[in-house]
Amino acid sequence: MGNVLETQKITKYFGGLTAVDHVDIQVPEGSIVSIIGPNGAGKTTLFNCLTGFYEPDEGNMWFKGQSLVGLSPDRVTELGISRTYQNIRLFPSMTAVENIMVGMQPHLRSGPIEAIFTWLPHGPRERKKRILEFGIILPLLLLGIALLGRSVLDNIMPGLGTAVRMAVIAAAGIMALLYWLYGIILLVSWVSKTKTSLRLLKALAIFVVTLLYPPVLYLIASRLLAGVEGNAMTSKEEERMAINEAVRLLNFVGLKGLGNQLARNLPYGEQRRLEIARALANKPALLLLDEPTAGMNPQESADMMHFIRRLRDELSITILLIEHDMRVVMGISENINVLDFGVKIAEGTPEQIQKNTRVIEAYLGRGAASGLGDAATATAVS
Amino acid sequence: MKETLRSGVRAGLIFGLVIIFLIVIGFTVPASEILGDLFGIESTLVLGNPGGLIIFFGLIGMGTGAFATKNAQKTWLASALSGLAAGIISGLLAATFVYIIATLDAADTDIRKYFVQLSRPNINLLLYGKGLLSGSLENLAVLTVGGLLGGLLAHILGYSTQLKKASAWFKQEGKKVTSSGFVKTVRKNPNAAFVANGILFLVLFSIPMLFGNYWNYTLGTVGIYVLMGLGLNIVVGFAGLLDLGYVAFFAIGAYSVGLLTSPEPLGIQLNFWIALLLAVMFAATAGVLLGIPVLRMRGDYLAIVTLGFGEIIRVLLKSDMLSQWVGGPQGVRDIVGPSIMGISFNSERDFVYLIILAILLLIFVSTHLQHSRVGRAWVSMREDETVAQAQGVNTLKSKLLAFAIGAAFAGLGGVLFASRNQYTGPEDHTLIVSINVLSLVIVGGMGSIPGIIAGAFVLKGLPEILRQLELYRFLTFGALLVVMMIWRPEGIWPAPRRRLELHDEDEEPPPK
Repeated sequence: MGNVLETQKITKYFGGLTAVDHVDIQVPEGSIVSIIGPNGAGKTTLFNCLTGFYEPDEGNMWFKGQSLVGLSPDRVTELGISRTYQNIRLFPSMTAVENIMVGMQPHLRSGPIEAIFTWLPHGPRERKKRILEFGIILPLLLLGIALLGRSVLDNIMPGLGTAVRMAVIAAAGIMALLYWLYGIILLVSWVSKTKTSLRLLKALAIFVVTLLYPPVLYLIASRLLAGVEGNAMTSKEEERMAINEAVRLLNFVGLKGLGNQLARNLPYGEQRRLEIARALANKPALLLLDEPTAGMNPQESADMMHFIRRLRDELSITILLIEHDMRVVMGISENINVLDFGVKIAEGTPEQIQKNTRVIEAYLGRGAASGLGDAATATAVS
Repeated sequence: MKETLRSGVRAGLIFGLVIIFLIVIGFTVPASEILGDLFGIESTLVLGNPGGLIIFFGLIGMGTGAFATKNAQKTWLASALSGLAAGIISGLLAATFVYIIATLDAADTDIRKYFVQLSRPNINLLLYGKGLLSGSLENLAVLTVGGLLGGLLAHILGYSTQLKKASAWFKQEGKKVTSSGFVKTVRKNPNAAFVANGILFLVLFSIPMLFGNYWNYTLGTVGIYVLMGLGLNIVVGFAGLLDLGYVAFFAIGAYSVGLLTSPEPLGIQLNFWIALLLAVMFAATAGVLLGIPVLRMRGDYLAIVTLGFGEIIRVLLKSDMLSQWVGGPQGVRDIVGPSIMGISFNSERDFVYLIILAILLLIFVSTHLQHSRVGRAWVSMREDETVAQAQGVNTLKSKLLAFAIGAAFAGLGGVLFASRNQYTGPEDHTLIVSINVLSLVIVGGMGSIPGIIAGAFVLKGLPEILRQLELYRFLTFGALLVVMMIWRPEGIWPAPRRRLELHDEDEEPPPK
């Protein structure tokens, strides 16, 4: 199995302070990896670099082979990385279900037009369609202005000669014409791609359409036919699906029946689980958990530990977590990275880390080795 | 005992100063007239209504007493005492003030030099048309009695506890009604919504018929503010982008339709409907253009920049530089109204219909957007922009969309405003319009569509009804905002919470 996430010499400066200093981390697919370290060691800063909140000053990082450097947080999320926060950051005056539905953002497609016309199926999901949609207005507007242009231009610039006016009209006309041709090309390529049964219908549509303004009609026809073909949803269907999925996730994290509560009214532990549900809504391949058991009692921590393991086993999500609770860290991690003052000082299995003298010194201070010994025994027992 | 008196004195001092303030700004005159009319008391004076003034001061006195007893005095005596103390103190302050100004006036000092509102007839009103001393003492007496009554009344009502009990009872009864079989069957019946909508349409259709031109004009103004409120609700209420220059888009809409349809100064003279579409498009484009530079700003910074933008538009419209094209301070005249097949619809009533139609359309668009992926993206951005982006919300796109749609709504409002008045000028588009719209969104309830309508009626409709208070519009405005922020920060009609997780019996909150 390859690495889902890999960083190479990630470095982040804050003024004169080096918060993260040339850190290399590998997260193999399907594993649970921890990052530990004393307060201020740069763990959360590293998370913020990975998720696009900060741009690292040096180094590189790859998610499934794709570089993450310079991507905005929403792009990183779309790739399949979700995270939770050290201090819970839900959307407090949205309900639990709505919180989860915001997490589905990258997987839903309804834009404002689909939202208003709920019966209209989504168009094809290509980049050129988006260009088309954006570009429709411009040539139409230009042509309109050019045709109305006589009086407008005369009034705004009275001294303007006929030549300039003609030039404006010609430019607008040529642009509209090019756009028209572009629309036809799109239509033809679209027809050639579809199933034979629908090809005739589409060709007929094109014949009618070419006489008019192809970009507009391409959009309408392709959307409606996508609906007929059954591979596109209307926003209404999509909403219903999203709600069902949100409720399913709510049940999965054990918050059944709390879906209509405002997030801020939920008890602390449930807010943590809701945050995880929101992160799962993105269908992530990699989940970054920032101190998931902070502020929990031993029983709750143990529950959370089992839950994290379930995420990996049942949903096969790779997990990278920051954690202070040694019992949890030693209990579930397959691999541990230790940071101190931004530098990675050790890496290894829980057993290796427990014996590492450098970690003991950095983490617990000199002379506290016996304390760690206790923690290790406790882990062994549990 | 000491505490009782102290709270009384404190309330008395505060309210005494408030009364003096109201006297100085001349608020007592219209207030007494309105109350006098209300209770059918004939006035014997040139200005104001002494009977109404007694009622007015009596009410303030009762307020003083109630305020003094607010901290739940235990016994009858304590309540009465603190109310009385408050009444006496405020009465003394007010009476002394009236005595002083009346004496000065009698000595032929020109008080109006310092307090413009305190003319001789006004002072005469403050003395209830009586002598110097007896008039002042009557003020003291009215306020004292008012304070005492207020204190006792507050004790009887027990204030908050009783109110809470009452509201709890209402809620319980309400729940009983809504969960009863009849209501449920009505709710489940698909025809019920149809019938309800039918009735609503009938009401909307008949209202303008019942009114004359003046009231239709007022209704139209309220409607235009509803349009703008719905637009600003998207920008501020949903997306949480504080926009103080919202009037700019209103101006762009109004001027676009003006310049495109009027014979002067450009002489394009387009058809109204085409001009409407173009104007809305221009406004939306302006929204995007404003949006681009301010994308990375948050909160206060955004507010300041948009404020500047609003002013720039107004100043440009007024400037000599552009007066050749936009008419300068004179504005644009002879703006064409809507017409279909040669029949023009230009009466106030026609415009009310048009505005109602526009409102229905915008409500449709707003609700659909609110309950979609786009609307959730906006709200999440309002709640926590950083996290929203980390959840995959494209904040750039969402913000621009909010600006564009909000601007388009305001543009539509501007079009209807300009073509109804057949005129628009720079003075129609001052900062105060932005503030009005923002206040109605806040008072109505941020993010709540019925709230916007309620807010528009309260802030734009009520002042039209209480014409006599015209001068004091901003005073009441400010007072209302303060009161709302203290007692009901979520607005008159806050946005309802959507229940998306469905249960068989989802009335009770789950046990924690």
